[in-house]
Amino acid sequence: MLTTRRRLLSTALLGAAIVHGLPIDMAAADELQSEGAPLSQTDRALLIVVAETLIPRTATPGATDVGVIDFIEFILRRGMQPAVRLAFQRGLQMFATDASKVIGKSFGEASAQQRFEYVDGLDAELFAARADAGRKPLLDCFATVKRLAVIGYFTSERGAKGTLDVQLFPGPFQGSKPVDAHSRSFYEDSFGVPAERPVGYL
Amino acid sequence: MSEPDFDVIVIGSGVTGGWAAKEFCEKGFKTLVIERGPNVEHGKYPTENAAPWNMPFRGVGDSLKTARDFGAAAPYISGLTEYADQFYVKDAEEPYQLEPGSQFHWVRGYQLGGKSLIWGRHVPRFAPMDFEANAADGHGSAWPIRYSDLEKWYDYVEDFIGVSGQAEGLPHYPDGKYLPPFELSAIEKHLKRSVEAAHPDRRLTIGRTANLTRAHRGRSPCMSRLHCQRGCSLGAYFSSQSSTLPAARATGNLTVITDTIVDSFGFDAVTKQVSSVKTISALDLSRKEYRARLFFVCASSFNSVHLLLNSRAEHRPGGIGGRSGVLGRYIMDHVMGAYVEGISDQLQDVATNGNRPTPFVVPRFQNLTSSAADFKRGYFFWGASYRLGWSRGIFTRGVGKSFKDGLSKPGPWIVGMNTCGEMLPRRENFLSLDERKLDRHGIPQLRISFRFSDNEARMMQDASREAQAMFKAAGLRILGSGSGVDPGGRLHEMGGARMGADPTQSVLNEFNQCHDAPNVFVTDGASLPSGSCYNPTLTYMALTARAAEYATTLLRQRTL
Repeated sequence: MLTTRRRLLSTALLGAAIVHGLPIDMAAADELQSEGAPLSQTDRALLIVVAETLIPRTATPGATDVGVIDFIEFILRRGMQPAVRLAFQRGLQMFATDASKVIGKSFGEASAQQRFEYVDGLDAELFAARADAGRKPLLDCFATVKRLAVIGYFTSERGAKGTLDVQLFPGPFQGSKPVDAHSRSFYEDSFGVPAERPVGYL
Repeated sequence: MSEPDFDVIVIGSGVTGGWAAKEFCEKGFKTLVIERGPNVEHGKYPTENAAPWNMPFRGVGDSLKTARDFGAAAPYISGLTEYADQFYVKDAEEPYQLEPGSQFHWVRGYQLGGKSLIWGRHVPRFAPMDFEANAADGHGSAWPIRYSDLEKWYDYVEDFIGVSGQAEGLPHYPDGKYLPPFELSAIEKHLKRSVEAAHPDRRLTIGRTANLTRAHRGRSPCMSRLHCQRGCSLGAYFSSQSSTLPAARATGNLTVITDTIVDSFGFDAVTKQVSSVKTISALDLSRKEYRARLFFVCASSFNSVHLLLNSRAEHRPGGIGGRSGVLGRYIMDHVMGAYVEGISDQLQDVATNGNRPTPFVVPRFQNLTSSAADFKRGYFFWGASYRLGWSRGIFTRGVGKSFKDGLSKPGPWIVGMNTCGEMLPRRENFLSLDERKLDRHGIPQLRISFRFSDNEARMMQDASREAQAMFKAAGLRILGSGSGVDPGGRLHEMGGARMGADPTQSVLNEFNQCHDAPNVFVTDGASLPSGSCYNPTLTYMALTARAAEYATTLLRQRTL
């Protein structure tokens, strides 16, 4: 729910499985939380490019400029149960393989336009909600990358100050402030970052 | 008998403990406040001004740690965030027992100021009908006081703490003394017009909140950050730190000790009356006893009952108030779970500025004059709205430049409403001590037996139907709704040491004084015979101030 923090944390445990849902296993959280290994060079390079495709540098900084990869790695290492992390890494391998197949060359070697089209195709598939079981690990991984890229970007200092309305002391609350073409989203939503897409949002 | 160390000992430094301290200190009594948790100094709130980029998990939180610390309760703990989790008790550190089949998450705040640092600040008054509800339908036992007994005390506490709100002239939602109200948002004003046009007997209004909209008694107005749970050095919301403890300190009569748990009362060997508190240090388990003429138990509802239960002696085998047969019984919570959330693409030319610290409210409209509904008692709605911000990117279709640029502009309006309902007081809901399970201080753990009843289930279904109908009529597209009953434990736990005229049916008299321990008063939520549907904290403050005045007359007469 977007107007309370209810149910926020229960699904945040799932990491990858935000949109498609997984049963919550609270007992699993008690597993020894050994910090995950750092990203391999290959995975790191791939994630940098995927994040930049999602949130590119334009007139304002892009994902690479603000170090989104460091946030993604941090969450992978510290914020995921081992089983979820493993599923994510498998999904990333699937991404690399699938992208190569579709584009005809590796994701890293593809042009910006080719990368955009591939990622946009995945995004469309994600939101079409046709549950093809074989595609699930890939789509779960992509959903996680998108979620972490969005959070990592807009909660970074450079990303927030470049694109949002950052006011540490907004002052007296206004219920109906006029919005124009230059108005920006406030940097801090009252109820925090939602865990899942509200049913019926689209 | 040796001289007491203090005139008054107050157990707990939260909302009611801070109030008791202020009242007794200002009346000239040497007062000791004993707080079980650590010190928290006003103005020294480490995360108060933190931006997301200052936080290890960017403010979203360490979900694995949260699950370890709070378990399945985490999603239901209002206000628990990465910025504020230091103020919430971790169940793993302070376990309690739950009777199988019970559904309850006991949320606690053990530090100086208690839950006054993390509360929701919503401060409506109870309605006159709330004090008569038990007598009217026969559930629970009659209150020994009425609204008219408490009215001037509501005035008194509102005047001191500063409450912002809108007077509405509704007899079932009594007005207080208010600072200017916070604004409704554009979409809320739209919803208000729609609701009130369709239902002349309903009202949508801004919440009554213990946040300031102008300077008040040396405290600054709210800056709309909604960082309240982190602590606010502006003093813009009521906490013991910002409001009552400074007033108490200013008298020179206050002593505060922290990290000290009161585990039981001590009894005078000759008179058999309560003469002391026995304490255990939370730091090194050392024991110490403090004597006083008067004791105010303000430890938070279930902790207060725990203390009474644990104060056993040969002459009081069931603890203080045990002879009543109702000590620990008739515990209550507010029932929640029914909600609706909607979205609108209208009103795109305006947005809110800042995060408002109070919800809007639709006061209770069911079972006021008629009993046509299929449930007893009532509920109210509280809600919020905002233009979706950057985080909608997590569930919004889009990639690349247009996606990024779109997120930096406000999105559609989201409006949501939640329900807060009054449950029936039932004997089968009760607290007891589990002698087999001791906590890490060697004190028997509290055991909670708690279930909601069919009445509460029917109430949530009604609330869900009404909420959805209101949203549809206002042209809001419904994103989601629920009609179930949440587990108990929403920071409004009440009862266990109820007030009443009859000592065989109650633990406390009309002044919150223990029937069988005249120098022990309990003024927090434990004392309530019924829970209303409205947030209870202002009522706790009023009861405390009233009880303090009565106890003062006894102290001055040397009756105590």
